[in-house]
Amino acid sequence: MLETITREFSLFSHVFGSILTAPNILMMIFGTLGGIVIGAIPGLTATMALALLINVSYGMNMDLALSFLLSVYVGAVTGGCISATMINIPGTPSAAATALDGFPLAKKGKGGLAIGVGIIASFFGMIISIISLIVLTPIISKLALKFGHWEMFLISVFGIMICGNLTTEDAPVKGWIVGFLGILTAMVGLDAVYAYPRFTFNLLQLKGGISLIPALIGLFGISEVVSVLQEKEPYKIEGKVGRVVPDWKDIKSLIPISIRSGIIGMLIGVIPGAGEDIGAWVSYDVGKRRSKHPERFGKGSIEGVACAETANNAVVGGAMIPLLTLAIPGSPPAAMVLAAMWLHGVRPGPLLNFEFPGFLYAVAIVLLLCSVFMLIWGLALAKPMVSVLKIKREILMPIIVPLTVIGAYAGGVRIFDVYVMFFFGLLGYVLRNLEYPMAPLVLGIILGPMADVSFRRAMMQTKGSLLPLLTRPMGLVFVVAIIWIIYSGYRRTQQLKRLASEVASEA
Amino acid sequence: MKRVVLLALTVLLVCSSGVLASDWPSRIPVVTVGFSAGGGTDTAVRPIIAKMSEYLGTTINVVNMPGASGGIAASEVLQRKPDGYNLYATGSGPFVGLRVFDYVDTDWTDWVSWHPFSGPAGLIAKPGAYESFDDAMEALRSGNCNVGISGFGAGPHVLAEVLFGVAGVSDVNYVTFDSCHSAAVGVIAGEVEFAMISFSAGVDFAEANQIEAVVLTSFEPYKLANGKELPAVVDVLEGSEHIPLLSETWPIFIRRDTPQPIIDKLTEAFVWAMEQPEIAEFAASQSLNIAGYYGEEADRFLSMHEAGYAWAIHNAGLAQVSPDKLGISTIDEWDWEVEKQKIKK
Repeated sequence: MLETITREFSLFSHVFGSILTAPNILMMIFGTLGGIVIGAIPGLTATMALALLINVSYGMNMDLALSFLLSVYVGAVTGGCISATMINIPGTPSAAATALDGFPLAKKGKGGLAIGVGIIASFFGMIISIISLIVLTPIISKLALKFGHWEMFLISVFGIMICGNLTTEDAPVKGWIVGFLGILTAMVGLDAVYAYPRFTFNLLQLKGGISLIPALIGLFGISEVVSVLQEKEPYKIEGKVGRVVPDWKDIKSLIPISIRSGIIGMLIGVIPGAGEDIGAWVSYDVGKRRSKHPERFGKGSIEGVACAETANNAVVGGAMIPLLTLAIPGSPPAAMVLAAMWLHGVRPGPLLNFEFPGFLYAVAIVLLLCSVFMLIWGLALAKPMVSVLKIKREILMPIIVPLTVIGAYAGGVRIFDVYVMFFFGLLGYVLRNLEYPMAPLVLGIILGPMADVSFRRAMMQTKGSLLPLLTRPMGLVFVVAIIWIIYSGYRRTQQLKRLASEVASEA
Repeated sequence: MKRVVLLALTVLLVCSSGVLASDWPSRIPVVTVGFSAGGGTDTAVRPIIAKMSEYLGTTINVVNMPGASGGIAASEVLQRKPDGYNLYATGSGPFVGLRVFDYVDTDWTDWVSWHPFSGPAGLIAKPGAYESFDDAMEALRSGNCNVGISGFGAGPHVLAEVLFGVAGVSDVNYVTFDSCHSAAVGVIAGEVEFAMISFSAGVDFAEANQIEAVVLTSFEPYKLANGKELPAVVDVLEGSEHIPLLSETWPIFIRRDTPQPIIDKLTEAFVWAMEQPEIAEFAASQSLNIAGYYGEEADRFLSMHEAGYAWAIHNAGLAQVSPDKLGISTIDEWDWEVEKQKIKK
């Protein structure tokens, strides 16, 4: 035992020394900055950035390429919280939960603090997931194998139900309706099993389905712009930027929240394909249920920002666990990192420790250093970024429109996506006026295909019978959780109705 | 006068197209991959593109436009100018399926292609689950086993259909997965008893003894690093000689009406790239074979591939358009001398 620890420790120090070179460090410093900027621009995501950058990394040695790609990944997942807080448009889908509290905080003049908390929470999330990556990989990697098609179906439904439950105060059913509207949107295109065209009206562009990013930008970006410009006097953010770094008392109270959210995010990261979005929502849900002040969630709660941001960053390290041990990427950007590793001749998987001893440590060390640079850049940039909030909305919003068009177009390089963005902008505007939340719709679009295809594959597996699926233990846990969410949502609606009728009768 | 002007314009046009071709590449060419970034096609295409761009002295951008089994990307590239800046990449299986699945009306005659790698498919199971190939076929005949595939109409599925057809196994229950790799993980996790995968996607699991290949769709057995030999289909199944010819490739395409000097320059870059040691190392690490097809050899391969795939898809009841209607001959009737007449001049 002692011998193993000594051997591993000497391997760790050797890898640490080889990573700590000037080019690697410089690459991480600027890669993290680039990632934060990419994440902050609505429409540009970590996945997209990595897809474009993989080939650039081809000529680099593995350590440098790893520093380059992982720094952009860490930066981009964090950067999303900046635009979510500043302009209520999540820079990446994973920051949609952050916008719920970040933007109300900014409106109260606490934008700097919201970003500061978001960045520090992201840092905590990274650290927790890196520790898990180093210490718990052999145990946790097996968890990924427990998730078959049936469990993937249940976790997608679970994600949409949670999100629906969280984003509407009065009637969770409203959140669920838009969540399933998202699933309907995701059904457009060729079905992923038999390639049968659904809702395509014989149009080739629709056969490719509705892309997530243009829909996301439309729903959050365009509808926000239209709503703000419609107001006779657009809201102003008064006062000073305020402090960015929260005081020690706040940080201390956030530590237990961050540990819990970090563990949740890391575990969600381990589940193949679940990704940063579900991580943030599940953690936000647990955070709200366990909070002493659940009523503050959604109205500008620092706790809410911390829950979402810790978890979405913790997914990064969590997703590396099945990636390194089974070559199964835990999230879409992790799939890009896997492709990059293959390009460089590293084959993650069961033989990784034999073929490339120390590679796991290299990933952990690079992630750790990137987290430190992300923390420094994030805090340093928060104040100048928040000054954007002070620009008059009637000037800022028209500047955002061309940016959103570029964001929508950049992913698929097709003009059809720009039309999709405007359509969803309009839909978002209507939903907003009817007081429907938009986040569940986005999660529906993300998880809809996974729910659809996983359910049908599970049915294929059992030749159409549901009974064998109900005996799977991991699946049962999710079935119970979904029933609980529906029940608690129903109970809350009834309580609110009763309260309203009591108030009315008293009046 | 009119004639002189017309002549001058024609000369100018011819010269300018010549200048354009000789200047190529004066901006960054883009390869549109028909599948997601990080998938099998994307991974197989990127190293060769990186090497070709090194030879050409220019970056070549790779963008991913998944959808309709690569059909969205194909139609997008077909709509752009044939100026040498728009290339397309996909798997040979999905490519020849575009017409029978009624995605896009295009076939190999519209394109010039370069094929860096080819790879056999493998029928895999848990180690020690079946004693021999015949034993595995017997288990499949019992109807109690599921076979994981990456998708209906994808290369390994077509090969499975052909393989089971020759072996006399019918009514196989398939379960689809996101990729060949996840189908292999499905076998490890016990979700399915068998999986038919592009073997390169599961070779590391075979090396680690987490899966076992019942058979490979190759002419020669494959030797793992641990010394274990995996059987070739021609050695264990009578009448299966044509199956290895259906192994997939991952070609890069350009429209056939692209100026010839540009096609020649790309071919030069491709040939140079294929000679580089990194490409051989990459192929070995992924257990891919070096194909290196271009020119007539590439056309011949795609034409024969189409005959094999289109009819296998049709026989599995998945074709939207009958191969007969599209003038695709069966593999038995296929004749290159007849086929090459189809190339549009």
